[in-house]
Amino acid sequence: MQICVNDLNKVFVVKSGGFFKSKNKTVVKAVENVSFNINKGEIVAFIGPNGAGKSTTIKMLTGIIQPTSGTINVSGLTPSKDRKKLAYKIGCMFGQKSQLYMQLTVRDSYKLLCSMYDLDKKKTEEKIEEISKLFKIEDLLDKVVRKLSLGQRMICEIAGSILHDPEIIFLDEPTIGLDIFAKARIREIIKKMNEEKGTTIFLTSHDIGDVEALCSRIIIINDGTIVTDSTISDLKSKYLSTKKIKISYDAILNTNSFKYKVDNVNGYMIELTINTDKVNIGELLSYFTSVGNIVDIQIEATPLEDVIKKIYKERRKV
Amino acid sequence: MLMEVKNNIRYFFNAVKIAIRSAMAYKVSFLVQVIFMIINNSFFLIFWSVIFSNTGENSGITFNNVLYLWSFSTIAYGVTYFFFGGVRKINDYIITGSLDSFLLQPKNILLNVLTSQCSFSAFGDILYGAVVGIVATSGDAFKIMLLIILGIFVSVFFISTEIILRSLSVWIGDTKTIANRYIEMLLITFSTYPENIFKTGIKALLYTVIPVAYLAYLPANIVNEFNMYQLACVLIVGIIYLFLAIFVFYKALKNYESGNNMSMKG
Repeated sequence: MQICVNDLNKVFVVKSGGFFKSKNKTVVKAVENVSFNINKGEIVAFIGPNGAGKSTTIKMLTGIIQPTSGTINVSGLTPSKDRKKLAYKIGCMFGQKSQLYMQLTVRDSYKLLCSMYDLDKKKTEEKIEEISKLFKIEDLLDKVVRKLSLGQRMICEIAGSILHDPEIIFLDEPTIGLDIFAKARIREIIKKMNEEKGTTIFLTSHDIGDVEALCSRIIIINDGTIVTDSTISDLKSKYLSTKKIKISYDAILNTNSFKYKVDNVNGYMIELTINTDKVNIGELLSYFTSVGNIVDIQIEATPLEDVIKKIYKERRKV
Repeated sequence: MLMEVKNNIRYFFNAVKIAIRSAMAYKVSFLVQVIFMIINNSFFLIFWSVIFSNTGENSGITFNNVLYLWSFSTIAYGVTYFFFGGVRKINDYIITGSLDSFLLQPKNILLNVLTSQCSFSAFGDILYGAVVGIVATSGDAFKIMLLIILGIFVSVFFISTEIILRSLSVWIGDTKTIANRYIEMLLITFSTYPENIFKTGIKALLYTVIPVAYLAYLPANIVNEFNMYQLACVLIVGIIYLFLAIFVFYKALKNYESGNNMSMKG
């Protein structure tokens, strides 16, 4: 087990009141009884709506803030006690915060980061060359960080976070604000790091595309507690009982007398939504084959994004 | 432990080297900033020399004494903001949650924060302070040695004061204005006027609430006329301030609650 979290809690005390009034203290539970384990080499998505407790959890896992209670073990270390030792084993990239130095070139920023991880001059040069080839950023090395585009900077940030060969990488919103090409590039890089170096990846993102493209497992947090911890395929099969079916015929049919309720008729095509828990797919297909000559058929699963929305909503109702 | 100290020192020199190299990328801007800082500081000494030529030196207020005051205050200012310019950002790092990036790195966090920025014009202050100090000593080796030792301690005192004031942001909100006013309007301003022009009440303040005495007055007196007791006083106060600054910073770090503002280093 590379990350082991047990009964994790984080409470913030918020003070309110005027300058001359006594201050009221409100206790806010940001994270409540969170437990999970992550194995070496896994890519895990840790997602949730804004204010769900994702960033607070990551900050506790990386030693930035201390938990109120509970235990965390990351690569055999306790983050709140072994912050410096842990820093050699983890890499972090927070989309909203830069670890590169705005006024320096990418190369100089990397040199400074390498000296932070006690790499000597020769090793530093080798590492910068290796990483720049892996990320295809050779042409960006001598550019000043502040002059990079957002996409270029994000790629350089990720590259900077693995200069010291970390065992685990924490990525908080790595594709925030990027266009589709930059997103695809970053996803490809993350996948490559995992496959080539066996790096464990802990990812938070509001972009479900990141989750679908990269992760095999998903942990959903809402209101500070874990609401789902499962593989993406389990999650889909659990929540994807609703299917949208589009059938095209060689002629326009009268759908009023149909056995099944049709949502929409669009020329030769009919659309209907079914619940696979209630409707037998075999019977349904036999019926629609019997009413006309089918020329095309499409069965669409609910997008993962809708599944997650559904989970968020369910939790809110609770 | 020894290895860690060695690695931290190596990191510090790397950070300074890279900061200087990045300043050199804009040579003209760097030189203009340095030269203007020197010219700016020189104007004050020209005023003093005009005053002394009209009124003469009296009541222990000598031109040499003024030179030492300027030497120490500019050296402290220059060393702080050139080598440890990140000190001025501590409050900002706390308020915006940017301390996160530093907490994720395996180096001594205070050193890492202090070396995160460099004010290039402050190099002009160091040059100016050194030249003015050496001129005042008339090349006396013992006085130059005192100038160097005291220069280090007044810098420690100055950096420590900055660290303490900026770290308070964790408890009382952004202390930027308080720190800027205290440092620039009180500490720096008072340190460039001879102690003897102030009356007893204000003098008492300058040894306590606004302890300019340890930044400029006592060091200037010591180089002018060596006094072991005063030297011990400056060294001890410098060390106490350093420990106090480290204590306050790490106490603040324990109470730091991070944040999610967008931010960049540098």
